[in-house]
Amino acid sequence: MTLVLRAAGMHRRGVGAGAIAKKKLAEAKYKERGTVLAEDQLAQMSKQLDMFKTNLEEFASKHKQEIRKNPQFRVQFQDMCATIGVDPLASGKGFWSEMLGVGDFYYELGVQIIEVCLALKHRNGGLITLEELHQQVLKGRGKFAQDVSQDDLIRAIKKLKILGSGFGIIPVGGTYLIQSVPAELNMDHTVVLQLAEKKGYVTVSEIRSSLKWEVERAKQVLEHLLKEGMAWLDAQAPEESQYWLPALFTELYSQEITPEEAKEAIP
Amino acid sequence: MAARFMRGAGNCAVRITPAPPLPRLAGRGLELANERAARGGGGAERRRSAVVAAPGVRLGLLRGGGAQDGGGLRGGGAMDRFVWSSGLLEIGESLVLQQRGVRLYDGDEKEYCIAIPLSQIVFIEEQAAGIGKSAKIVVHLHPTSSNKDPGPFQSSIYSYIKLSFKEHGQIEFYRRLSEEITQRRWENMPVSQSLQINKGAQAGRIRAVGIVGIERKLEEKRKETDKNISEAFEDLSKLMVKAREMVELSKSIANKIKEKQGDITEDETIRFKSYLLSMGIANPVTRETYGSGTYYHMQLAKQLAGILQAPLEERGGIMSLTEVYCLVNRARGLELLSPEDLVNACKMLVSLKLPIRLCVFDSGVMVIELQSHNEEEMVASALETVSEKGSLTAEEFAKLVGMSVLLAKERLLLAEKMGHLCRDDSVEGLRFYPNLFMTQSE
Repeated sequence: MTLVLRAAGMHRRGVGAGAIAKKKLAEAKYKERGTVLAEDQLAQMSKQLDMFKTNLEEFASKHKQEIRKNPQFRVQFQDMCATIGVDPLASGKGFWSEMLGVGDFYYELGVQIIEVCLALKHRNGGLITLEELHQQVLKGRGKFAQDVSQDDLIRAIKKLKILGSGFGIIPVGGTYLIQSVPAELNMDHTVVLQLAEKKGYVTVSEIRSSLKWEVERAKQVLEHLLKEGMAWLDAQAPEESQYWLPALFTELYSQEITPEEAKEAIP
Repeated sequence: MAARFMRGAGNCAVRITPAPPLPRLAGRGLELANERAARGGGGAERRRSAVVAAPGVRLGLLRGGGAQDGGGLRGGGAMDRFVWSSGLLEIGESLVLQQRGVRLYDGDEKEYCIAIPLSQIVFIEEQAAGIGKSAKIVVHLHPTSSNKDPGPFQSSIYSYIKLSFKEHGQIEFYRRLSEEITQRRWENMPVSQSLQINKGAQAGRIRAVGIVGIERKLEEKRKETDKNISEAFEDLSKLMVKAREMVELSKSIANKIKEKQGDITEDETIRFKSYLLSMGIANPVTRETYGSGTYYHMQLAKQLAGILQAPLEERGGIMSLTEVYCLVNRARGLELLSPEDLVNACKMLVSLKLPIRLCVFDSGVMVIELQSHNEEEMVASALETVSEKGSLTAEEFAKLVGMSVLLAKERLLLAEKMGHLCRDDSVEGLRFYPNLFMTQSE
């Protein structure tokens, strides 16, 4: 049995300041724990990162050449990274880029792609087939550079999109058209491009019969492509005007001639 | 001098045009002349061999012309499988792939020849490039059937030919040729000629002899290569498991950050972002581009301000981001910037109070400008230029002022937006005129 003596004044004080002070102390402790938790995890991540870097270095010492030389392996590597949510090409400062050398390969390819597209823009309006781009890039790289596949080009182009100059990839036929100008190409334009891919040109009648569009809609799309310089008009075609895509010209159908030859040819 | 691989409805064909063999005397000079002429699109380079192409599936070679007319065709080699061809597309054929600069070897001799049915191919394999040697595709062939059409060679000691890729492209070529050989579309084709049927029967009988040894050797080689590849894949898979753990950990940290807003210091946030940058993981908190706002990007931004000062001044104070990307990476040579590195660094320019800045036009085009550059002021001078000439297209304006067409167009569009210019949008192109409605309205 204990005798408890409690002064009336002290009891009143306990409900007030003391309780608040206690509460604050509890909150502060809780916050502290929260920060400590994050700090712990960051420290853990830092440690795991160092370990991963070591693993990657080991992998690179054994298989760096494989990535350089084997395009299928590159594709597998990229796909696996994508599956787990990692982008090996995000930054030149990333581990993947630094240790496997994949970065420089694709970033340099990006520069070469930009240059080829710029050089040919006056002719094709900023549209080029993946095949032609591939050929031109190979030519530019020269004999002693490493070979590149079309898949490599596609990956490099996907990275270039973020620079804001209108790089885009349009599927046509069994291949792709690469856009390198900020021209707006919506679904209608894309569908007409796909139609034109078969023969290198398209007519209003073909659009109407294949796509079941009204004449106005077909004409609008074709005029937009003309204005952007992506299509050329052949008004001398026998039945009706043909809209040709210079991007789709190949050596089989056409041959580049000098302005002098052109003057002679066309009356 | 292009190697072409074509596919058609009834007649599948692969054709290859080799580079002309280097003559002993003229050497490099002549080869360059041919290349130059070919690039210039001159018609003189398109000399072809005589016609008579065999029907059926074909691997063909087009001689690119040049000074080697008819020369250099010695007997011997697997070249006896080839037949003459016009080199033009036949009816029903379409181009599958064309690769320039492919040299054809008869066995190991540097020769070239004409066309061969794909059905004659047993197996193909790649030979890596070496020092002084270009990469090659080796094409192993069935022995000739006696009723083959005439071709440039009558007999051969080799059972394979090599294609030497002087100007690259072997990856795609190998891939497409492999596909065609796997699909064996010629077996599904209606065979209209007795010639074809005879060929098939004979080829079948001869196949057993001599080919078995080759196939066995190739099989062993394939297994060896497969082993190397599978080891690499195995190691890669293990690595990916560890990488996935990193991704999971980063998500967990990001969640903690979200829950306890403001309880993580700025320094810790930056640390976290740089970890994400190293791994190539998207920032799960803000969903913004990877690792933006790290010390690396701050450093990079300061570097860019230094590097770009002079080029910007040379170009009238403004450059597109693609121009900057090319300029900076060409200068670096090694340890290049990714497009995202560049964009993330540029986003920090203003906050770091650097003398250059990032701007985005309505069209989405991104540019770097000198702080002192004022695009609105430039519009005034653009208006003057357009008025002087009456009207201008973006291309004409670009040429006059010495700008890229991309930026010239943006300036004219801005002038139009500000009401100084109006447009005439026709099939002839987009043309800008001074806006007389503004100046002459009263």
